[in-house]
Amino acid sequence: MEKITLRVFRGDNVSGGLVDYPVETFPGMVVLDAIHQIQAEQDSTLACRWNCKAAKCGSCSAEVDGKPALMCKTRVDQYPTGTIAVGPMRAFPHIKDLITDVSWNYRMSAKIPPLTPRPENEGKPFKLQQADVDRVQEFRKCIECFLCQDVCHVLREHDRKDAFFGPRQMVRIAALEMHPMDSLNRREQLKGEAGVGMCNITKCCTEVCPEHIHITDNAIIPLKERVADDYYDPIRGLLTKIGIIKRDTKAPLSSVPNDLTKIIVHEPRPVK
Amino acid sequence: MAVSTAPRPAAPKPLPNMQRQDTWWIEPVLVVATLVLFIIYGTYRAFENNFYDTMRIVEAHGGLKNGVAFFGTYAPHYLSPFYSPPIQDWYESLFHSKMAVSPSLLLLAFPGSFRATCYFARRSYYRAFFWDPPACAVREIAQARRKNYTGEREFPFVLQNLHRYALYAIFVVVLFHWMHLVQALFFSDAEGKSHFGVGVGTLIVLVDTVLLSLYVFSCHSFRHLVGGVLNRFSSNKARFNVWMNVSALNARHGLYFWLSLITVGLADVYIRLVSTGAIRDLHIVF
Amino acid sequence: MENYETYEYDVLIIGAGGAGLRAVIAAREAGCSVGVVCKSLLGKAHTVMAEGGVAAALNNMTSPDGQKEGDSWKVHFTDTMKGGGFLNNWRTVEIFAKEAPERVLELEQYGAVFDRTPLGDIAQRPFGGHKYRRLNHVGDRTGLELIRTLQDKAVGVGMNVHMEVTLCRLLKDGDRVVGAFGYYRETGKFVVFRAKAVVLATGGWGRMYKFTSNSWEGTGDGLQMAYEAGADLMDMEMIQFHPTGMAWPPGMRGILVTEGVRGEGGILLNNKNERFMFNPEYTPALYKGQFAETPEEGDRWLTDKKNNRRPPELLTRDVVARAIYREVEAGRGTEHKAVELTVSHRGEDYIKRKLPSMYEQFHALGDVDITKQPMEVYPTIHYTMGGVWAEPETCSTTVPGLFAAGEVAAGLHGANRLGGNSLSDIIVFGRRAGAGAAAYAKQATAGAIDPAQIESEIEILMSPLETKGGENPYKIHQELQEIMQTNAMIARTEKGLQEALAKILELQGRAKHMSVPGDREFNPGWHAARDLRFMLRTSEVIVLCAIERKESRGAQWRLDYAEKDDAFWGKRNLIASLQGDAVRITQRPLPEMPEELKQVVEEYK
Repeated sequence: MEKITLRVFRGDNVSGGLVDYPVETFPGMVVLDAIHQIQAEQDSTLACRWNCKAAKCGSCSAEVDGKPALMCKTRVDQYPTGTIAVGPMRAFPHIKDLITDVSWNYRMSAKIPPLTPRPENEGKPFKLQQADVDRVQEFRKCIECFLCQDVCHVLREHDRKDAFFGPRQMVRIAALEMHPMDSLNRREQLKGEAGVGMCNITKCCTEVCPEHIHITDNAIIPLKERVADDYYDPIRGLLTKIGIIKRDTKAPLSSVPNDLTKIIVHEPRPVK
Repeated sequence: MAVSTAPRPAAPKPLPNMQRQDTWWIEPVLVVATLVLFIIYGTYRAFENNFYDTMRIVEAHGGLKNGVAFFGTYAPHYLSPFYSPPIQDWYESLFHSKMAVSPSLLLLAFPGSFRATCYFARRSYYRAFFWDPPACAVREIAQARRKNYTGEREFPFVLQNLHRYALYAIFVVVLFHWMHLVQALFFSDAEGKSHFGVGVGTLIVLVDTVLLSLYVFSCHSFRHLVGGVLNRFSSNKARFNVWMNVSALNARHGLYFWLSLITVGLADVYIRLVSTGAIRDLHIVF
Repeated sequence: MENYETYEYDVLIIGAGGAGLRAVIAAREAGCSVGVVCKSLLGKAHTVMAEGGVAAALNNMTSPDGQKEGDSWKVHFTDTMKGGGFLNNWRTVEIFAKEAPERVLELEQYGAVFDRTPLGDIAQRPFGGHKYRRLNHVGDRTGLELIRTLQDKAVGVGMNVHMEVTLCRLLKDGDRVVGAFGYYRETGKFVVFRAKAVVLATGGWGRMYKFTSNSWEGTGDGLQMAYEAGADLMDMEMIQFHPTGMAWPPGMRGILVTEGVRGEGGILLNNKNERFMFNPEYTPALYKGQFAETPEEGDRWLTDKKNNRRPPELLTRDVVARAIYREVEAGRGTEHKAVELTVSHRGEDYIKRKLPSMYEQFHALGDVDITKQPMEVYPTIHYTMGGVWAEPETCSTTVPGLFAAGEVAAGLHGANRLGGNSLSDIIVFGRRAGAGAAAYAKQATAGAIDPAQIESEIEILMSPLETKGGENPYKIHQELQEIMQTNAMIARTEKGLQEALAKILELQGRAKHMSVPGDREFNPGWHAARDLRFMLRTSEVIVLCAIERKESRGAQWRLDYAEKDDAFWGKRNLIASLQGDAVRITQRPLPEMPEELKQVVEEYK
């Protein structure tokens, strides 16, 4: 049994700082175990989110030694100095201790209509080959931990939540845009409010993804290429106009209602 | 019904500076060093406008017979990738005079635009030169630019969307690389007759050509155009297979970017050294 | 009294796991306004933990000769009844087996992307207790696929989502449930929901055990709210022990190893390197002759399912869990009191393709490379078969206006659940509960909210913050986990259970005087105090039912009543209900299965 020090951020959105907690380790201990130990034995007011503790639900996102990570997947024995700093995700409004308000992500997600099968496929079992779904299945592995959103400098440093849905939603749109059965044209939204152009493909989202989704290479860049097809390729545009390239027959996104859902988390708290 | 969906007021974040403690800065430093070195050398070579074609050296000396001693019995046919395709030769045969500017300055536009708009290169230089961000989860230094960041939506970066046109252009360059590789397999004797052979230069050109091809054919735009644009792969098996192969290459696009950048520079350095007589090309002629 | 927000809906859905979200879709399609309350963030429910697949008799799989395997709802019905020790409600199972295929195909329309067969259909894998390959799957992350699909669809049809709200009391107007009361976890502010109908989809409870795959959420609040509102609970003694929870390293203790590992050819070994499941003692009479009798036959089954019987590692979960328990008790376990599960013989590529998240889980967390090394496994608490009694057609409970679906409801799984049946349970009965609640809401008016009920709950909630020098809830919780783990786990005796009961009653007394530091703003200690009271009450009911049922059946294994008693206990469910302040346990005869279903069982047994 070894002792380590967990340096945890404590505080709310007004004031706070790092507090050191001594923790006794056991084999295979992860940062989340250490947090639980602190809650049970030292301070039960330490707030953190968690659920499955098996890297399947994406609740315990935080920043460990300054790097976005799932606490349940971060072993304490990989930090040889014996001191581990744990803080909340920085891209989102802070609430308390390790908790941030991530509801913005759900609101953006609500702007993306779900799969809408073409009328001829509606209500009938799909006939698809594994090759048709492999690419989409990679995107469907997303556990919505929002670490990619947290590390994305567009959201984190530039705070452009007004112009970019973030990597998570790019992955979601990619899964729909590349779904063999979807009937909606997602590119207008991509170029517009979803803001794929805000991404400068610096790949940090891919680096932090606990599910190892190739967010940049397999989702965002192919989406950028599809948007380029429609909006930035003058020759292609000309060929489409004179009918040599077939026009996309997908229905515009505005043909389905969205924004029906409200995400309610709490009343906005006045700054103390 | 009081539905409170308004975002939380953006209070100034009192979070302490929990910066990354690891050596995240090594990568941007290496990127800056390599690219700056390459650009300085490339510019110097472009303006030098000499020592890029071994056959020109032979000609300048009035042929191998009149004594280009450092080539030995056989003179190699090496052309520097910085001066490919040989537009100087074409210009001279058309207008019987030298080009007003260095051909290299014109030719650099092709690989230059391809590399500048390359998705992998963008990742690297946005990080290393623009600090946007310097590394993952590291604070950007130019805080003043916070809100007016527009990514690749506005000029000039919106032009990155034209990467595919740079790809079309680079195909021509790759084609010429392979042609030069074939030329590099032949060596001229004093009579001007060609003999098949292999020199150290041939091998360097071979490595450079192969790596450039891998770099070009692992391109993200290429991957999109050959099959990525399809939604139902099973309906087009041939394109699916090409897409799978390009995807496999694409996983190492970044590696090929750096290796081909280094070998293209080395190939030029080698050809320059041979052309100036600083070293002698070792070759076996059959 | 402080002000609190009030929200009004036609249908209030408590819980946003698979069942809750499927209920949202159904209630919206019926034209109701819907509010859904979740204790965590949206999409983080236990549904994501399900790995192996969703069981539905689509009959997509073909034998090497090109013929379909021959699955049908009848076979699924029989397998489920058999697996549940025939304690299941036959009508619930009938509806379930008949509707599951339709619901799965519907998921595909909503956007679920299942693995495919070469013919282009949804791929199905074998699982314990299922006669044919029946688990429609997406690698080993089917639950995630299912919840994300339902989440996206539900967001698309429109709802109000109240995230991170804990509800602790159902509000009643006379006999009828007309709303619920709780608090925002984040701010501690109280909130009231007024609804014409309420759907309970709050999942199971397993946090009272030490080795559990449940998260902090599995405290049984939904169950207890219904119980306090007067609903009947059924089969509460039936708690499933998943045979293969991770046993080493200790940080990972209890985390699931999907049954898919065994479905894909994984074998169980004791410390003598024997495939102990081939010990004939472990195969119950009901399954005699249906499983491979030599390891060679079991291996052949992997490639030729038609001419060979499946290996006994794929017996039902209760059977495998008991076998592992016995091996370890007999000293044939590993140094960490576990047995070995290995799948390395299937080859690295195959494992990484078919079991990617298992590979990742062991690689990252346990330093074990499952393509080369065995895993150490031991049974872990996983699922609760019992729960709120729900009527099969509409999922209504014994309390008007209250509907229950998913793990919180009882009736479908009987004494033991088959793997893969939980995911089809939530989509079949989630939909029925949503539709049932919507129909009820349409003919109902909004009831009156009684402030006295709210105030009494506020009193309970505030007490730990106001009490000074009281007990630490974490300490009580730990003691509860110890006693439940030792005395009410896989092997039970009268003496052990009585001890557990005495301890629980003692803890209940101590829990009246808890105190926690801090205020109401996201204070885990404060949350734990309320959850603990739910857990203590649930534990009491579990232990009382386990004492009452004097036989061994499914998950209930009594060392002092080792035999199955079909004549008496095989015909009775145990019902728990609140009488005054005490738990009342009654025996209720099982509903009689109609003749044609009896014939179905005869035919496919």
